[in-house]
Amino acid sequence: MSLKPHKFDTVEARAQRVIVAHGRAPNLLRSLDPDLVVALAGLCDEDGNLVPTALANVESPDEPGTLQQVEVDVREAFRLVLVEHNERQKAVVDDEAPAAVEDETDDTEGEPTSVR
Amino acid sequence: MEYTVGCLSVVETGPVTTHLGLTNISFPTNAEVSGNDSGSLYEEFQAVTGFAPVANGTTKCISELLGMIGLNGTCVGAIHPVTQVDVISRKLETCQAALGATPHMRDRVTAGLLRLGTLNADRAQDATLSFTLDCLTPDGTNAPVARTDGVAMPTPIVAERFTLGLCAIGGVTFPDVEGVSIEYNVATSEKLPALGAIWPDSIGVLTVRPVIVLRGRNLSKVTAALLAFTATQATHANTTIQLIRRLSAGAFHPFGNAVHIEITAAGLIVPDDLVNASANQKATHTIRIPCHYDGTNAPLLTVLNSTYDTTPPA
Repeated sequence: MSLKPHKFDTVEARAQRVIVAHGRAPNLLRSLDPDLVVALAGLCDEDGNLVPTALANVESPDEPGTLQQVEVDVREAFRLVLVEHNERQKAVVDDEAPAAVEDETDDTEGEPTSVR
Repeated sequence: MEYTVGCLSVVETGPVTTHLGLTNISFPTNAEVSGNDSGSLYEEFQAVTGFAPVANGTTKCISELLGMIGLNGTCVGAIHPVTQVDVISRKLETCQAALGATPHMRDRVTAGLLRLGTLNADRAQDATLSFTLDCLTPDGTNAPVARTDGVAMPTPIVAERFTLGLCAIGGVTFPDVEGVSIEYNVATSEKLPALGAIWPDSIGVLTVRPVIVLRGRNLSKVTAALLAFTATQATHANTTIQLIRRLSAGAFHPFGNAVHIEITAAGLIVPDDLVNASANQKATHTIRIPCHYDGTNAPLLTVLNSTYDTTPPA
């Protein structure tokens, strides 16, 4: 039986469905690269059902450094997408200058960096 | 000087900052002080052996908070989707002392774990959602919480209100439901101080065992068949809890607008209380649904941009 017929006709809606189905916060979608969002959306059909398996590019154990396409279950596919996302996040954080010890006078103005 | 509850400021990757209105906040430090266990009359040697602040709060901004915190909890840290959480306490302008330009109190957390507590939704009342923020030392050197006395009140502070809508359990609609609660039951590993520090540096989620409890006034919903089998199955296709978004300066947002909340669950429907009644009061019963992983989906699925269905399940 299919899930309740929500509108899963956008890539973002399907990707968010996959994210929530794995117990992660829906807002995680906002921090993912567009290609990762597309990869996640491929794990969900238009009825909001998660497909059981998906093709993923993983490093070949026989030829390190080369990628091979294998069929993985949806949990493993989601985990691989998040591993790539986390590695990109770490690279961004490592590239940035170390954060200075907080100057407590800086925030007497009090305005946040950006506000939604 | 007097203060009251202010708001919760959450910074997500972007950065995107959202200020949530709080109904209450409790922020114990869990400071542990121990003596040297000697046989002396008086304590001679006291030391702080642990300091593990944990913030517990409740909000009506359910959609915003559920968007930030998943079922399994969300880490706070530089490489995580949530990078910073501030607890703001609002200073009052009293007859003794007028407020300055930046008078309020801020407690900032840059490492930790945000997890959901309990969602309570009673008929005709605002639904509330509680959360817990376990604070960690961000680098082993700095305390888990950094206090700044003198900040401006953040703006704008998000205000949302939801109330309980029509629910369906196991394919059966429950128009006579009195209240629903969802205990998320996110259990964590023991927090221990980092070596050479009194602050914890790590926390992990051990288990997530959500339980839905539904309280209704129609005793006939617990059928003889349900009692005979003692439990029946709830699936994401036939079990849904709906929350209707209230409209400021109105009643509700239109049901066809994709702004309401729907939570579906997979689990076992177990009658808990067959009847609870006393003289001159209506009787109620309760049904409990411990939720489980159905092989594909997490025990609870949440849709934050749902239309409101007046005839669930689909």
